Amino acid sequence: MTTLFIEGTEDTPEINFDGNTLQFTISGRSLPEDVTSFYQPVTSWLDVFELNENQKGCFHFKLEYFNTASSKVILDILMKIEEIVNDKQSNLSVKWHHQESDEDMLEAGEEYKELVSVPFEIVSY
Amino acid sequence: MESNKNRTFDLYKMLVDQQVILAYEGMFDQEVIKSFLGMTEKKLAGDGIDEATRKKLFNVLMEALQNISKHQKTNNTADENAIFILASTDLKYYVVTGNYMETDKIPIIKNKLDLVNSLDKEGLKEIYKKARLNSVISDVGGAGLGFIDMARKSGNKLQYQFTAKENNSSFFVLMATISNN
Amino acid sequence: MDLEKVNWIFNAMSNRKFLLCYNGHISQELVKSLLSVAEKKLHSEEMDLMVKKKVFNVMMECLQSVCKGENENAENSFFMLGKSDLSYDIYACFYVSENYFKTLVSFIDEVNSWDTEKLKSQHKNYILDRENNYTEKSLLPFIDISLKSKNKLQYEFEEIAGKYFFTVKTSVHHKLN
Repeated sequence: MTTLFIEGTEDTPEINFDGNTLQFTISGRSLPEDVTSFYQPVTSWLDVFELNENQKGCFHFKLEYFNTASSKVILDILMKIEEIVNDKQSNLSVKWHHQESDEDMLEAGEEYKELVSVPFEIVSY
Repeated sequence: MESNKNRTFDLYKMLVDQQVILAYEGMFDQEVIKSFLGMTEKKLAGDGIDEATRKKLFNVLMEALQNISKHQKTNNTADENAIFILASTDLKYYVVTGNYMETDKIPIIKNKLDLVNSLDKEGLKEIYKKARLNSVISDVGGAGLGFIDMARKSGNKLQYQFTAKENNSSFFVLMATISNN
Repeated sequence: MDLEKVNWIFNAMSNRKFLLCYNGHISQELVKSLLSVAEKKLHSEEMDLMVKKKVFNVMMECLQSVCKGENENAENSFFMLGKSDLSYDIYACFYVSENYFKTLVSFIDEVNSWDTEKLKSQHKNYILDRENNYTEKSLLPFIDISLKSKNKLQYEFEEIAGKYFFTVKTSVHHKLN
């Protein structure tokens, strides 16, 4: 399984999909203008991941801010994970991290949890 | 023109009439100054101004912002924040700063400004050289060089105003005009 | 520009506690710079972390979406961040055509009539909606800023030669309920 790493910037998150540890993390701030173009490597990686025999691991979302454009892409990613889980009965899960006092991020996690059927855990830090 | 300063639209109209690009009220530190310089650089690049004017404006802006950060009162309260405006018309750019300062420092500043305004290009060059050589580190030493530089780069007189406020505090407004050749 | 006008502006800014204003075309680079300056400013003020985050979020959506009005490349967008005794106020101002003006007014009135539960369920609907692709102007940002600010959106408008100068004002209270 390939690893995907994209360094974070002022307006784009860090993407750290580690094929060895099987922890796939999107963290930082997601405020790009062109979300489709930024997240394209992520969606491509997921397409390849889907064809893999043995998917397991955990997708971590640890975001400080994300714009409304990103919120749609995040849903797309979660729905892709849901597709993989349903078709292949893979051992995949999602962890949504939020700063303890960040009620908006908590609410976002709760909203996504309601929209997709994937093992989904909300954790605070 | 009597308009109600409290209506957003009146403020907007005034800002648009005066072609204000950027206005900010707050503390000025290195990071903030860097952000404004960066913003201005990008905006100017988009405006299609000639290289020479851009450089001048950038330098004047830098001096003006650094001036504020040097001269902000050492224990500013939130009510005594500095203000900065960048505005443009077709032919000119205006860099305007406003900050609180100790009233008793006014005479020194005023003298420096009057001196700078009284000199022509050659004269400014001379005192700039002198000031560089002397490089006296004092409370307002930095301001001296800054004003000279602003006058030289902007190519115009520096306009200023002091308004007395309470508690040995005055509000100092400084405006540099850069012509776009 | 003369000193008299400067003083007028400075006073207006101080009175309304305007912290930051920008007038012109809003590019992504500019958004980053303004957010960075504002973030610093907010950081230096004593406030609840949640208030700071909400103001940042509202600013971000205003600059990236609301200020654009109906036109991605709007030249005359105007943005202001202010502070009053009770709240931080974020103003997004832009010119719109009469048609879009009507759509906007009726949509904002509708959003303002929703309670939190309805806002949340509509937010879900809008996120799920795929007809609206990412680059089309979406009304989702209005729902988002309404939810996050926990306040009704206020608006003002002036008609100028067939176009409308529209101001959307979002307030985030210093003391969140």
